[in-house]
Amino acid sequence: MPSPEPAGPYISIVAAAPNGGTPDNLQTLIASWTGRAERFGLSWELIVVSTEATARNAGIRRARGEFILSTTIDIQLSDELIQFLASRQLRKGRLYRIDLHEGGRVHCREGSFQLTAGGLRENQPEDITGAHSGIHFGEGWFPAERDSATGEIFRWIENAAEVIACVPEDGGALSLEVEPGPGVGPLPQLLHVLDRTGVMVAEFRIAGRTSVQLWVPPAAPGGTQSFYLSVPDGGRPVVDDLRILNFRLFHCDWVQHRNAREDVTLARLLIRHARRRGIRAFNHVNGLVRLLRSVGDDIFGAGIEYWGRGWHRLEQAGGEKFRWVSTDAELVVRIAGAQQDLCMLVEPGPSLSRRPFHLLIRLSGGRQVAKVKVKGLTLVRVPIPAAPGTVASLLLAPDAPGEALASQALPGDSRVLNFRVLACACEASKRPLPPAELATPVGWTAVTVSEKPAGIDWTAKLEDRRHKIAEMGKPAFLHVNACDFILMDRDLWFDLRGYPQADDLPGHLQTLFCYAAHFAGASEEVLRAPLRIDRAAGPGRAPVVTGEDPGEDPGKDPGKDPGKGPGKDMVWLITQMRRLHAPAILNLDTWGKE
Amino acid sequence: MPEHTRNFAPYVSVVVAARNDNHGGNMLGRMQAFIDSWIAQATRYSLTSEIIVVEWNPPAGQPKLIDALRCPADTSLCQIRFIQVPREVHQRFPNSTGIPLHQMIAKNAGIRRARGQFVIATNLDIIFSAAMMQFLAQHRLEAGVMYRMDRHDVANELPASGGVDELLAFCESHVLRVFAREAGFTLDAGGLPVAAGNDIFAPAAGLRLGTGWHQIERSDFDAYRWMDPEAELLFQRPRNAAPRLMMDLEAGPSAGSDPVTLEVAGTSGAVLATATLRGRAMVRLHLPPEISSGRLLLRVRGQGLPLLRDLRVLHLRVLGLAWEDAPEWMQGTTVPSETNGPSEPVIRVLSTGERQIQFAVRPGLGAALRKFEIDVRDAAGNVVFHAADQATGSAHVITLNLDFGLSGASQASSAWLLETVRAKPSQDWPASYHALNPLAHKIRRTAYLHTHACGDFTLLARDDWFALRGYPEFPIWPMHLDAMFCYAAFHAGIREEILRDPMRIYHIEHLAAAGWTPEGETARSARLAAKGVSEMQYSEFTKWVNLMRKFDAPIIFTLGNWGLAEVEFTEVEFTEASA
Repeated sequence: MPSPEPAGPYISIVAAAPNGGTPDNLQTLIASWTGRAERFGLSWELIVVSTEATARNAGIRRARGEFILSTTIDIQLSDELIQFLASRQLRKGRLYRIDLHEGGRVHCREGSFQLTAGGLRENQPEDITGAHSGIHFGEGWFPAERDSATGEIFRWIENAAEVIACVPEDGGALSLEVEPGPGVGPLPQLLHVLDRTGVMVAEFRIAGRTSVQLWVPPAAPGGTQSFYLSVPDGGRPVVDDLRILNFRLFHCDWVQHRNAREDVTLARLLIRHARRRGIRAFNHVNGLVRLLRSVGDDIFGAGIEYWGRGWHRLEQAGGEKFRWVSTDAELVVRIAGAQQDLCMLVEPGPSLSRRPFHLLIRLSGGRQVAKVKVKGLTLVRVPIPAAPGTVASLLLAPDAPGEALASQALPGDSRVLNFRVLACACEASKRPLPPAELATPVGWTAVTVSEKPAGIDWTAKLEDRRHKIAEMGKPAFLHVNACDFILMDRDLWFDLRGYPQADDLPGHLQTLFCYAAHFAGASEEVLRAPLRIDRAAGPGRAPVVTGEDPGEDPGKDPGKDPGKGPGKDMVWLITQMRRLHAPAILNLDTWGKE
Repeated sequence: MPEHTRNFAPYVSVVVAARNDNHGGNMLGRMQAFIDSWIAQATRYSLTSEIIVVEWNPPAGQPKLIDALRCPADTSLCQIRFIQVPREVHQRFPNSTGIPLHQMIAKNAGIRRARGQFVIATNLDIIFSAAMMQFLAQHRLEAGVMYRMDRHDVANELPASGGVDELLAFCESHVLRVFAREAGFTLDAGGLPVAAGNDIFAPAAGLRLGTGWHQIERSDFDAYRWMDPEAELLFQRPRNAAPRLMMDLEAGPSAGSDPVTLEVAGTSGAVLATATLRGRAMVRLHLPPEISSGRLLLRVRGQGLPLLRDLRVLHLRVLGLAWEDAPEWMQGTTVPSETNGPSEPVIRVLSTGERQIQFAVRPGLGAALRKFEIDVRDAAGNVVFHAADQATGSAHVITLNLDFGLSGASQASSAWLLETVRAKPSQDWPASYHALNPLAHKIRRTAYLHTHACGDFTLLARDDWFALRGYPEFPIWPMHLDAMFCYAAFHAGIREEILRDPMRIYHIEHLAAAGWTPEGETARSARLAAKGVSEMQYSEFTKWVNLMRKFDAPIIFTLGNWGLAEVEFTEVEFTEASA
């Protein structure tokens, strides 16, 4: 160990070793530290203590460093981390934390996860995405859980949840099923999609359990696309769980299309179309045949990536399949290869007295793409002003005041049935638009497919705790999983009187300590890669994230129960710190002196 | 801080927080009484002390307290320091509109700046009794001890003039209620707690409860009082009562599965009778017949297990106290010659020598006595004599010849006896509100502290206040925060000592809805709710204490800068010149 410097070292490392550690372990530790500290010019001292809180505190109390790192002897710091420490960039008033890597697992703020060979968090056997989806969940996602009432698997997200996806070559439509949680404010709430640079690329309004679809553009060849689900008005706490539970997602996977022909429909429609249009119909027959042949089980065919709001359910009558539209039917089309035309077979409905009308086709931004007269069963074909390789979001609506339309619901059917679409697909355009007409490539597109009431009405459920929750504001959910690295300035350690020294305290005293530090004014900073710490694989560590625990069962110590959270008492205590905005300290000024 | 103030070394610092907002009505009058009485007595008993008035957030348009109060003539042994905490500091805290005075933070500001060896946190309307001041002047206070005492509330029509003696006499004779550890209660003219309606004894029973009894509680079927480890019972046995007190008792949840031990002790503390008790039992206390009045101490011992929802240690509850009636034949001068009642008359033999008892037996019409059988049992129920024989005929006289020998033991105590008459299992405590703390058997130290009105008197060594970093500085309504401090002190290893009569503090009654009184509680809660101000609920306070018990450690909520240590306040010493 280097000799103490007159003014004290920059950093004191207080390393806990079970029973003081074996001589070999200690020798290895000292050799490792000494060599690298010299190499990187780190001013340091090492204090080895046993693992009890009183012993750790004894070491901390005697530390002379400007900063004190409390760790254990089996933790290896990366060279980058030692370089960082040596660079003297640490700031007072900060609580430095870091993920712990242990074999193939990582203990991070949200929980403990196996890692893939590529270093991503591995999905769980029962998860919200398919086993081969190529989708992984990063920061901001809590581990998959099972709803105790419905048995469904879901994951909570907090304020920003990272999705890392291997996107199909031409991009892909991601289907998400999402429900608001207690962390968000009054409904509806916004769920933003941010690209990797932090730019908002899509927005959903969520008022209940909502199915949405998101077009994800392709990444660079062979690469992955990452984006964030961001909650602009989230962050509200609950009283029995320390996590921030903004939305829960039940499903996150790629949309799968199924195509199949139904010749009976094709034949009937051809006959009807010919009968109504007479000789002119034959000009359209080829297109009509192609259109009708391209649709699958639904009315949608090639190039229709997905459809959102505004479409009524799929119906069948007289051998025909169709969907009614009131107004503003959302449609996302993919411009594959060459410029595309949107082809639809449309017919006026009873709410328009089956009279001719003008069908407006607009881009989601409001720009009008086309205005087509629909008279009887009409084949509509309009060029889509979007560049090849992109997607475009379109809205279909009759050219009539919305209120007028809404008032024309049919007797016995509450719906407004303005027109119906019997087929809808894209075809290569015969009249390509000049480049100036093409819209800016659309990288991301979002539509809402359906919405129903949420499984849990959180406002009602939390009504009797509303005042307490309001007192907490929007508190921090700290990284308290595997606290084998806690680094703060010496003054802060002393102000907090070290770790809680209570014999009967559950094994989560570091959790309590971190929150006390936070409410003493320390701001948490989680150090990121390439700064990292590793521990050789050993007994599993408890992911300390939830409020589940054996409660006040005296026979169980939550700290010794891997996979369990910090215990009801600890959750309550930290919740009170959040309400009162004050730390809870269990020591007197004799701390660390025993 | 004035230089000469720094050099003053008081034994006791008295810290109060105030603002000139007429809180509680006649605030300046009450505060003047507090200052005058302290100064006068400190001078009288040679107690070096200081009074620190933390004037928090002075109201606009009102004179500062130092300008509104009259400085006592002689402050040579007690300096009065006014620490001014301006509005700007107050407004740093949440709820600054709803709570104009953050009492605990203000007191901490004073405690932090106190220079006495010991610090009393109290309030501006407290009068200390002469015995209390003498005790302080004796310098017998110890570090590591938290001194607490009952609060005696007195009427607020203080004598218009006169000295401290007149004020103390007024206080002594105008007590409205007492906040003791176990309960708050009103006193009768004799200074004893007034019995509740439908109490555990009949109004004419000649029984009175002294210290150690909790307030009357009622369940669907019973009215009862929990007993402290020691409870005082005063009695005046009615003429028609036998010297036997029937007690309806039930072992409480803190006893766990063990029985409780009940002792009856005399005023000297000597144990007169003992019994062990499980479940609910009717226990008969036999008194010497020659004793018709007196004061007894009932003591109960058990495991002392803590409960989950109630901070008290509940070993024994008393559901009824009643004298057994003396048989009518003992009450009069003649002995009844026959009885036809459903139960046989009780025969009481009082003698220290030979006595003969005769029973005249006469069967009813058409009946005949066929057999007689006599059992004599000792107090434990063992048969010590048995006789039986056939009988013929009708009328008989049965004669018992008894010879009582007097032992050499104390004549007076020989008749004390606790006798369990009948017992049944206690109620299902685990299923009740009074369930045990699930960790009860692991918790090493449990105490039910005297936290009633503790904001009016908590006395510790200055070093102890500093070790505990003062009160929690939550910017909420300060309910329970002072009690939280007391429990933190206890779990920091500081022993509680309750100072007893004649040491007293008198609290001058507020007007309604100012401070806490039982009568003003509803209005106070309504005011807080209207302002949207938070307060700690009792259930939350209980939870905090349970955590301290579980950890056997204090919970401290302040940092090294507690008491606004980093803020430089204006401080003015109160002298005749400054007034």
